[in-house]
Amino acid sequence: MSATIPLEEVKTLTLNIYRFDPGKDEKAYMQDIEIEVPVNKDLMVLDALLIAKEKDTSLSFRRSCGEGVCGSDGMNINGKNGLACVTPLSEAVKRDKLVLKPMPGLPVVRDLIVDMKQFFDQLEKVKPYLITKDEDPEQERMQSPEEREELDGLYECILCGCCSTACPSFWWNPDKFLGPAALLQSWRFIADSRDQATEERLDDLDDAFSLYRCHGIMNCVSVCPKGLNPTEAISNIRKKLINRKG
Amino acid sequence: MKGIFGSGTNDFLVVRISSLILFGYFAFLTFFIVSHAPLTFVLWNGLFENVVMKISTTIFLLSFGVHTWIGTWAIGTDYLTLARLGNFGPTINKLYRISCALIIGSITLWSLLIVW
Repeated sequence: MSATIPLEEVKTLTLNIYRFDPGKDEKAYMQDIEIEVPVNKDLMVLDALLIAKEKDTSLSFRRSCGEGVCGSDGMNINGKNGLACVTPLSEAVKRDKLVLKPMPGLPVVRDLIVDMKQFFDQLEKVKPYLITKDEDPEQERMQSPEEREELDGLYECILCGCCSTACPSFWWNPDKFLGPAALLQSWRFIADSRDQATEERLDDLDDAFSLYRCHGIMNCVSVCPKGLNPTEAISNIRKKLINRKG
Repeated sequence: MKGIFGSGTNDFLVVRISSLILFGYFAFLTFFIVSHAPLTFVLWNGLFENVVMKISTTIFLLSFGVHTWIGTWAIGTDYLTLARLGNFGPTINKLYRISCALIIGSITLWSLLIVW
């Protein structure tokens, strides 16, 4: 008796993708690419993009680990920033259509790839590394479990840029407002019991733009693929700044 | 830009404290109007003849001035910029600031003249 292997049931999905190749396009345009996806299997947006790339090999996007760790494939998925590799189609697709655009607010290099320089320039400003003044200990700088717990929800940031590019304040002043990702990292080091540059870090943030341009819109919280809360980090820095006044 | 009042924190505190003063003043006026209905000219005039009310109104007007000045400056630096409006951005921003200064300044000064 021979068993028949059932053919996988598929349905058509239309990807509406932002296309721009500075080498040949005068301006950007949206392109529809129809792909077939299995009905009984929930693919990720990245899988759909890889299928689309088989149809049009000129389609460009960043990707690396494919499991939400490297932060390479941040993009705007049906109007909301997210990582293509960890966003299931069942969650993203609305009315059998998936609109994919580059993360807003940053210059487009090509198709879904943005130039992240502005984002990393702002990150660099918060000195995202431990600063110490004491002599180096023989072995390591110790931290109690409680002090280490303070860093939970901060160190997990993968710098995908989804939060900062979803923030209107960052769109308006990307050179002056540091953005939620950089400010989360700033708080990560201010909150670190081993860091000895809290005052200098706070001085650097105490101007009209770097931190205070956050209007508490909270797009950053709503889009963070790691479930982090940059608005709370910004609020914690603000409390520190206010407390040292009095 | 260190901030209109010397630092970002100072600006933030000025905006928050002045907003509390504005709220408190409006809350008192609302309470006064409701508790003295129907309000007459004599009552209203009597209220503003009181020195405590004159001082409170002065504090309210100064709070209004700094609150709106910082607020409108923030709006201008968000929307009326070179990046958003091109080469005309800085000029439009300057005109906007002058208009804001004239409107906020006139309202505050004129009201102070009326109160005192």
